[in-house]
Amino acid sequence: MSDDIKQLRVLIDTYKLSRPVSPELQQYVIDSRMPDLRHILMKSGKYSLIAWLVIMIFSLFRKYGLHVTMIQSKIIAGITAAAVASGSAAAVYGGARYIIKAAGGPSAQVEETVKEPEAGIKKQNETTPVMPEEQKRVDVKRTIPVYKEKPAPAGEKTQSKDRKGPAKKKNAAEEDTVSDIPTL
Amino acid sequence: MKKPKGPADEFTQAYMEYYPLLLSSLLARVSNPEEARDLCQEVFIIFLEKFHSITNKRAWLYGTLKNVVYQHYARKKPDVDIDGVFNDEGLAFTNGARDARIMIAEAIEQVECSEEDRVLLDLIAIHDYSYGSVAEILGLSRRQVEYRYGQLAKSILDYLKSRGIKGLAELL
Repeated sequence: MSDDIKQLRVLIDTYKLSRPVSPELQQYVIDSRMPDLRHILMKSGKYSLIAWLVIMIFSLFRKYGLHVTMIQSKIIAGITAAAVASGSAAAVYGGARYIIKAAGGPSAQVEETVKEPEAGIKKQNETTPVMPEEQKRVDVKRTIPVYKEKPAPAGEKTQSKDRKGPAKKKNAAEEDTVSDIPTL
Repeated sequence: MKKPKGPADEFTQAYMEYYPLLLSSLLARVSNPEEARDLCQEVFIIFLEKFHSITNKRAWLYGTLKNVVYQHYARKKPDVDIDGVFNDEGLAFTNGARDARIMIAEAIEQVECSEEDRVLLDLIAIHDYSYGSVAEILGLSRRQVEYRYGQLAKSILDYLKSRGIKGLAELL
């Protein structure tokens, strides 16, 4: 405390200029300020929810040592209201989108997972040799050639066979394998 | 300090500053805190009604407060000496001491400062509020309150020196 403050205190106390208020009453005064303002505004017909919101912001900032005016409180209230409105709108939109997506999406797919065999069993499987014959059976495909007979022109059928001679006939006999599938 | 637009805004700002001052004055004059609150509300309702026509808010509020207290005592306790309620301590001083008291009171009143600083000075010097409470009321930090009060105390002592009082020993 500076000397000037001390000297002024001595003067005020000496000449009994002070009307001290106890710390309890000081707190009582601070606490009753806002409820009384509400009563006064209600009695005067100037009370509204928006006005009260602005006053609450005004007093809240002041409580924490931030000196704001009523106009600044109104601006803050406006920005807060806009932020809350846009935030809630975004939340509703996001929620609605999620619900629509969840309701109209593809049906659930069942995925079968095979558990890995135990270490011992796996090792055993790896060491067991596969029978070569079995493997061959799987790989080899049986191919059976199927020949389709060309339709010969009418009248020449018997002649053409005769022209080629006995050598041609021999080749044809070699190629003419027996088919399991009946020809049409 | 920026002036707010609209009577309700201006009133609210004035109310927030002057309410603790007025209620503290009433608490010193009316023993019951609830009665003091009711009287304070009464003063501020009249203040809101006549807000446009008031130039010196502080003077008007103290004048109305005096009237309201007079009416209160006339209604509830007619046998109480109302002059004694307002001039209790001043009557105890005689001759030179009373002059010195008046001079100090004048120095406190005459010091040039803003309305906010005036409220700050009255709350701390007259009603013995703590720096923390004043900081909460006025929306300032505790250090700001302490600094401003120091400056005001210096101004008051300078005023007394300008009136020919060189040392405090002359007054004590």
